[in-house]
Amino acid sequence: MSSITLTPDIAPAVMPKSHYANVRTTVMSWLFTVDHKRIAILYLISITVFFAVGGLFASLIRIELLTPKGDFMTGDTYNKVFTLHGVIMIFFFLIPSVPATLGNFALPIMIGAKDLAFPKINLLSWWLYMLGGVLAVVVLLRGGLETGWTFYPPYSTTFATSQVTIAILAAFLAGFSSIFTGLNFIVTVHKMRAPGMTWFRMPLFVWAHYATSIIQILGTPVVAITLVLVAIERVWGVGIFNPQIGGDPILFQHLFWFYSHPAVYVMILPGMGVVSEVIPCFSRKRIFGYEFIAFSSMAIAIIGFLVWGHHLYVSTQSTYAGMVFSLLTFLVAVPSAIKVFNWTATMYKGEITFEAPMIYALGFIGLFLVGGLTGLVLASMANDIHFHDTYFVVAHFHYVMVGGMVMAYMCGLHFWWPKMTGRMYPGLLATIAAILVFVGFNFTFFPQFILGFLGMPRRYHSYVEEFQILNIMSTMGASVLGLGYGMQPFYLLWSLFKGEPAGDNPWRAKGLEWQVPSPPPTFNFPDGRPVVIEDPYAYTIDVKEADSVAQH
Amino acid sequence: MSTHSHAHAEDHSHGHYIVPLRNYVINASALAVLMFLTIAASYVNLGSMNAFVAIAIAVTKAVLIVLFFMNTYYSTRLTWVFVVLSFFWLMILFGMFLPDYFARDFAVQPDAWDSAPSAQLEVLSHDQFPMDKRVVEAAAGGHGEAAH
Amino acid sequence: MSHSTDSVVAHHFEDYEQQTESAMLGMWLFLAQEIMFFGGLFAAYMVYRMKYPDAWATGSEQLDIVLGGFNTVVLLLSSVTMASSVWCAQKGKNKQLIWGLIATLVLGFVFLFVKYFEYKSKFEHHLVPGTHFFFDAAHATGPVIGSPTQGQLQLFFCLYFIMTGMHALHMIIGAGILIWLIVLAMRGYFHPQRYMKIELFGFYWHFVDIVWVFLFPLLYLLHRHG
Repeated sequence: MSSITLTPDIAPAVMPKSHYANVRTTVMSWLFTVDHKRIAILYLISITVFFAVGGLFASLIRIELLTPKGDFMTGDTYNKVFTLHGVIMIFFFLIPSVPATLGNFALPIMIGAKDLAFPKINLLSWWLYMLGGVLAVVVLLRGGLETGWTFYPPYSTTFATSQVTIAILAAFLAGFSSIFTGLNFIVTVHKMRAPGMTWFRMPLFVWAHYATSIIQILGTPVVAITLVLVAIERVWGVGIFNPQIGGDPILFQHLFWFYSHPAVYVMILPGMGVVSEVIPCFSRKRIFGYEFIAFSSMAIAIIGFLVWGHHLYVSTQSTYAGMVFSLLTFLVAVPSAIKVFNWTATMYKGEITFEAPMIYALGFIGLFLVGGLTGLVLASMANDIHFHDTYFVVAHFHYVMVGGMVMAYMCGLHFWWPKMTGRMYPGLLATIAAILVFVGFNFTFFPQFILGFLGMPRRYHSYVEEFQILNIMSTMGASVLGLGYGMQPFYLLWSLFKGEPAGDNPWRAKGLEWQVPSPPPTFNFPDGRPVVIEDPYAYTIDVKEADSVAQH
Repeated sequence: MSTHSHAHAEDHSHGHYIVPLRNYVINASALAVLMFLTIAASYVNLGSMNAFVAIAIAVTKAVLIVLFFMNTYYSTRLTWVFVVLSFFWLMILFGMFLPDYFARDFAVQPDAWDSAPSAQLEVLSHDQFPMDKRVVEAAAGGHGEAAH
Repeated sequence: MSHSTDSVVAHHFEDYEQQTESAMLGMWLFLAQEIMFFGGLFAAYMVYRMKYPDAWATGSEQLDIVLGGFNTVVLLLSSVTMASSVWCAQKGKNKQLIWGLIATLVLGFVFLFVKYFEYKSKFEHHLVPGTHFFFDAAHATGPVIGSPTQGQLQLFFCLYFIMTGMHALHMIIGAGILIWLIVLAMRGYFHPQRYMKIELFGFYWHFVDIVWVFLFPLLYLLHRHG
């Protein structure tokens, strides 16, 4: 089973007659499927819808900020627009994006399993996500939410006039969906690996998801109970964050960020996993420092839990606690830097080709680097007093989340698309879209660093006139970015029907998922359980010379 | 699987150790004793040690339940790892969280170390921050919502 | 005892052992999640106890230690019946299993019943947080320690109700699952190769007991030494 062919298919590839997506075709067979690949497709469709909705709100924000005065919408409307942008993008797009779609699809195949350990819980987690999503739509239709995605009391508990309780319920359900995905992944990685698939033969994508899952399980419940407390306080008018009876709103911020900072790593770690797969494949080189990347994922997950206090520097948190959190925040940069160094070293003297996934991966490295380094600027307490709640922060986390995670998600989607659908998308269009996304992204968010440095506060619908040029630049960049994203559904959907059959392994990639048919059959491995004898990065520089310049 | 290791080797039913009923009764008796101990201890004035004793007994009871009611004692090493990990993480939450509350009232200014922790800050008016003033004016010129 | 293990192994598992170990690990991860869920509440408890020691001592004195202690015994007994049920399931003693589960369910309801009376008494003393909250020192069920404010006492009772309420909610969910398990047992679903549902539910039930093990001293026994 596991002998790996280096030569690409000579005969033109054909689609397999029967695969996971066409064994049964009724709507019910999709909605109640327990096949991890079908659930991944369900997730893919749902998060794409939410990405579009979140993107719509982003464009409304950018249109409003074209002019210094609030010409397009009132302050209240603007508050609702940026809140819904945040809530939808974070809870309904970024957190499930890579784990629930690409992870769900690829992780079991990558370790040689027929399915995740608990297929029904996997389905349950999609249903919880959809229930939360429906509630998010209800919030939207009933007048929106204006608290910001962070739900800070006492504003959210006492003063907000919008649909806070329903929004909290939506976030709560999405949270448990995420917990169940994490639980499934951890058990699968521990118990379902194929013979020979040792821990250090696992793809780094799997390591990254393992680390992510730990955060999901240990962090998410804390925010769940915290949001329940806010809902209780809002519904019954009594609660523990109310300063009028001696409660402490900062307590909410502590509990909220105990999850919500690690949640940033829930968003970025799977993206790092994707990039760790793509970079060696398109450099034709073994990944540099495999163990270091694997352990840095774990280190990020663990240290990521110890840094949340840097969100509270200006919230009357003790300065001494702040110092500790600041130091630990600097520490978390070390494993991140190790990864960037190792990806770069992997490319060194590699045979790099610039297909669409690789362009996204390269974009990821650059943008994540900028996002990470500006994170260090914010991590030092003195700087943060100036930068806190300015556009510098907005630009920083968009560089990490959009420049990092969305790029990585697109990267993985383009990398595994031929495996998921069996068909290849038009390469040129995909490349153009990738370049548009990269350029548009930088034009959108780099000006916001400058704006924040100059002191433009976030979350206002109006600003002073001298900021207008940079804001116009940002909006224009967002248009280019939107064009790049907007192209993708067209050529991807086109490829579903008219794309060339991709064959089992269009990228000549290593790893178990490329040894099964595209699209894979229901239980993944038509020839029975695979036996793994090789690590997933046994690339060689030149295919023609094959083993003479092999890695050993 | 490689992580398979049992604390007791005998009496397996498909890799699963069946704990005799007697053990549950012994464990329950121990827990009952500890329960009366914790009530008794709470009526004795131990000063600040009261809380410590109460927590110590509760932790002991929890450990007994985890080990001998939930049979962690007889389970694989992997289960041990996750049991310990989950309680350890709770300690991280508490440990990183409480220092802020201990240190919240510490003064920052060196000369305030000896005096009260309430160092007075000079309150600056809007006029000293022209940028702020213009933001307010710009907002008022719009629909005036953000100015509140 | 004639059942073979093959019949209970799901399609995506290789063998029985992989299936049972996965289920155990999955349950423990779920409980890890539960631990952190309650952890947030305990963290809030610690912060306010540190800030308002008088209110915490006074509030604790208002709680009924007899009912609290009685409930502790009830939960301990239900843990024993639950553990015995697991043993019955492992040994294939179906009849005893059904009775064990029913005993556990009854003890669970006894706990909730007692809890209901405790809540009712707090309601009558205006100790339920909200607009009607008023701590009347003259007619209090316990002594007043130090000089807590009404607001601080309200904070204590907020946490008391949320923590015990969240615990009771877990008991109610557990009772629901128990009823389902009893029905399954009556239909003869369980045998020595198929008792994982019982064992995993046992984990959950014992975990709920552990939460009470901490709630009892932290809420009821705070300042009994006067």
